[in-house]
Amino acid sequence: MKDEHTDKPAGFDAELQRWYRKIKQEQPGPELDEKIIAMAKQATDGAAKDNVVRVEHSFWRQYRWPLSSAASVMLVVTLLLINPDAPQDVLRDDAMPMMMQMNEPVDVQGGEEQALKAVAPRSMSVEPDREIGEGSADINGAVTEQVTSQASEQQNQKGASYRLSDTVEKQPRLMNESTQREAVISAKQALNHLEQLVESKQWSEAKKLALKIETQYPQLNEPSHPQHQSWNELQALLKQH
Amino acid sequence: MAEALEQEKSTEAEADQRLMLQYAAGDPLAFESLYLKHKGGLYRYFVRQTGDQQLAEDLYQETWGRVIKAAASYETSAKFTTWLYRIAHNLLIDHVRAVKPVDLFSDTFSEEQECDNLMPSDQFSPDNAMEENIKAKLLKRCIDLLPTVQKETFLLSMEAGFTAGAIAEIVDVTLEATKSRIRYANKALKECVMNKWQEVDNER
Repeated sequence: MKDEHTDKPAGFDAELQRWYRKIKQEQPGPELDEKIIAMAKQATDGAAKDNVVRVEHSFWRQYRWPLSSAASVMLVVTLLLINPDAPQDVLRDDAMPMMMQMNEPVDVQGGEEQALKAVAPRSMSVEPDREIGEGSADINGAVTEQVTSQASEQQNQKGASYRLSDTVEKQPRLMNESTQREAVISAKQALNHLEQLVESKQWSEAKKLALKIETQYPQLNEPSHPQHQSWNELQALLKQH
Repeated sequence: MAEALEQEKSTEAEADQRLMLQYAAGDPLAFESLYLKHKGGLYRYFVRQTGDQQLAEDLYQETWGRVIKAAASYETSAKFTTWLYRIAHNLLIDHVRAVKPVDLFSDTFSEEQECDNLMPSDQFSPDNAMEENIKAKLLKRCIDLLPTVQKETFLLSMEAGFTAGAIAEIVDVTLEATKSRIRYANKALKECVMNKWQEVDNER
């Protein structure tokens, strides 16, 4: 009585197997059968209801990507048509950031509030009904051309008015302030270059550049020019060598 | 002959697996086929082990309930019948063996009643067929007398045709222990039947 091979049925005597087959073979009742089969059907029905995701093939769902893209394009185009000037305002040259060019701090004597308003952004500017000559904004001392350029923005606006010091250029000059600003910046760059050459003691190169600057930027000789002092100093150094 | 038998069993196992997968995919008819095929063996597995029809029916229903619930997670790597009877075995452990001590002889058997019932009637001569029938009835009583673990081994072999290896897997014991149980059960049953037959024969 050995079961050497596990893949063979467990070996009981043939007699026992024969007798066992003769025993009455009990079966579960039909009610129990129906109950279990109904349970199985219910489980499959429930699973079908729970797991099946019904995909709706509506027009809006089917073409959702093209429709949403078209809607986005329409929105952008409409906004551009409604606001045609908006991009120009953003890209306007006046709105560009500018370098502060001051040789020394602004000496404000009285009317500090007005002076601050003069250099403040447009949104913070003074009341437009004031006129030049009221003397409400007396700025004395060395207000540089940087201030001038910013102030010119205010003046360009209709009705914006304030009084700058005597060193500030008059109206015709302010009209050309954009080109002048370019020149100022360029002159400063040239002077910076010249200063570097002087510091590195490249005198011959420095002298050539000084001549060029003198011809290209004659306004440096004007005392009102912000770079006038440094230009004079550099020229003096060059004359010594 | 043996090879043909093995091939037939293998085909049956594959068919069971296919039916179970079909049911897991949502085909209730596949479950019905599977159920009709295995309901008798599983039912008798419980009835003959517990000796309590109501408890056996509860366990039987619970087993199929677990099969239904676990259908989605059924893996084809496991033979369906092995899986089914493993569920049944675990339920039996939970419900019966927690109450009844292991290896306790069934108390449903009454020696006197058994002998009275098995006395052949004077109207019929004890021919071979009659002898076989009486021995079959004696075997049924002897099965009740078997220790629980041997009884389970015997029933798994007789009802589902499991190998020693499969039985070891279902009841979660070593193969050697299973083989030992088969040996003892075989010997005990034969002795029991022959002894009782001798008693019946003497009284006749």
